[in-house]
Amino acid sequence: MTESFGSKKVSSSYKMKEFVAKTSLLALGVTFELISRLSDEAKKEIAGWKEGRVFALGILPSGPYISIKKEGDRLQYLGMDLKDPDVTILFKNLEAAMLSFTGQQGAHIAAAQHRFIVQGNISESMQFARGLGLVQKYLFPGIMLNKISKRAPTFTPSQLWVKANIMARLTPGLLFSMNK
Amino acid sequence: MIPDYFQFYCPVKILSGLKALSNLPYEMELLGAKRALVITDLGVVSAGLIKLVEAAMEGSKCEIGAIYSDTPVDSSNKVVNDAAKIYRAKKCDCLVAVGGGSSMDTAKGVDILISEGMDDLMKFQGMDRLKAQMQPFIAIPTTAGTGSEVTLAAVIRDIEADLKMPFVSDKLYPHVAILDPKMTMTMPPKITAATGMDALTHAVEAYYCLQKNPVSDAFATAAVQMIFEYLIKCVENGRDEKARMAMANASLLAGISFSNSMVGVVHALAHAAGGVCHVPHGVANAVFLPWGMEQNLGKASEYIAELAPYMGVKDPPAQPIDRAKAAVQAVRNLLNKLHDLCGLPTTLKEAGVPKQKLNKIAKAAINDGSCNYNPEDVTFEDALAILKKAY
Repeated sequence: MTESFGSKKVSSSYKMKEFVAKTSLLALGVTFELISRLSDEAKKEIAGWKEGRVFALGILPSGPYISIKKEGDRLQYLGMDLKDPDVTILFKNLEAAMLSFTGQQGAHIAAAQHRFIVQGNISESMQFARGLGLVQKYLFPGIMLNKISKRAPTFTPSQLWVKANIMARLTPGLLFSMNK
Repeated sequence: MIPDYFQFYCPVKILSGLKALSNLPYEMELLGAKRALVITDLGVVSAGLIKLVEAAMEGSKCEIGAIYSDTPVDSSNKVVNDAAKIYRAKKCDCLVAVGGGSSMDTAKGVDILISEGMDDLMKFQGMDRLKAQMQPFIAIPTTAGTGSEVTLAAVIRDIEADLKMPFVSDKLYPHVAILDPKMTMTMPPKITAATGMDALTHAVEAYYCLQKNPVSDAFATAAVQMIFEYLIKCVENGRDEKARMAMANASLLAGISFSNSMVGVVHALAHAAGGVCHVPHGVANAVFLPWGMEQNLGKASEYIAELAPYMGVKDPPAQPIDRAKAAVQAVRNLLNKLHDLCGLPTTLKEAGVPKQKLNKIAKAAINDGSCNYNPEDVTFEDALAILKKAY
């Protein structure tokens, strides 16, 4: 009889998914910061959030995670860790996270399919979910947004300009924030 | 319709019908319990229903360790803390909730504190956070109803922050639900109507919201059919035991359904109206239900249409969109009948909501988790539009 105490070795496929998950979370974290600086829509949404609130998004059982903090009229990306969050959204496993990160599933379907748990005040988690919706609006291509959104977002000319701006700043932002 | 993926869970043992309450001590023993904390409210006490519970314990080896009857209309962390202290002080080993949603939610809150060994309920806000082995918990509803005897959620007000805290976990299901015909007979007509509409809203929203699945659908349609058949009868004659049991069962079926399928914009608005203007939950659901159904005709008309036969719509129209509209009209007809019979409000104005509060209600509604599961997107503007129509 061979005893098994859980697999410590992971396949290359799992490692690839982990890499995609880490990169996706990093991109989300950086974009949260960018939209809070550049998007009027985001500023309006964030204005209603409690000052100092820390939100985290990640994957069970042990990451990766990102944390975001509301400071003044901005969102600050705190890094790839749980930084004492007030509200945490955790995907139950890597496969569940990949469905969302690869644009196969919107947040509302992920919720309906019990793909994640929420720790903290659910009302504040809804605010964070709306923020995440705005991040996706400015990060994802239209074809993906049409698939994952309840109502496909529309862009004014100035919002398109913001999106272009964010795309231009994303790569430098990722490189700068990689070691946070 | 089979979704890509779904979960369904209902671990509650259900005892329903003649002399069901007499099984209380036996069920306690099966759970390994001897000494119950009964959580209830003063209305239930004054209706003489706790005496029935006490009578059920006669001659058994189990006992009632204490009765906590100060549960208010909305449970709060203060109430939960007070009840938990009594549970510990009286060395109880079982929770028995007798009442409506508030008593059930209080019992669930106490269960969290006792089982997790903590004093701060705030630490457990959210979804799927509880890990401990929970206390033996028996629910005896006296309304029909919230369905809380078979749901995984509790809503408890944080007094200091003046916020309602939702707790959602598979661990919050009671072990046993006891539906005894004597326990809902004393409900006055207007409360019967309001709680009945709460149950209908659970079933209808569960049927068309995003988390719907074939198992919850079966419970939802059974509930809708029973409510349309028996609610008016209960309001017209509260002593009709058959109708009362039917409504108690319908409420339970609706509770199982929505606990596994969630609800949508109607509940988001009802929670918000309850929080901002203290509109009773059943009344708010009644007012918003037809408008919420209409809001979802674009994305969920085929599902709403499927409900028409269960609502008693005779000769349903051929086109699904028209059948869906017929279902909405059936709900409106039911509401109007209830209004005529017992004065159940059908508008926010009748429910006493000041027009200047609509913005605040809309703002609260979009932060309600129920919006996640609504088929149609719910922005502030969407919520406000529904509120204005419902006014």
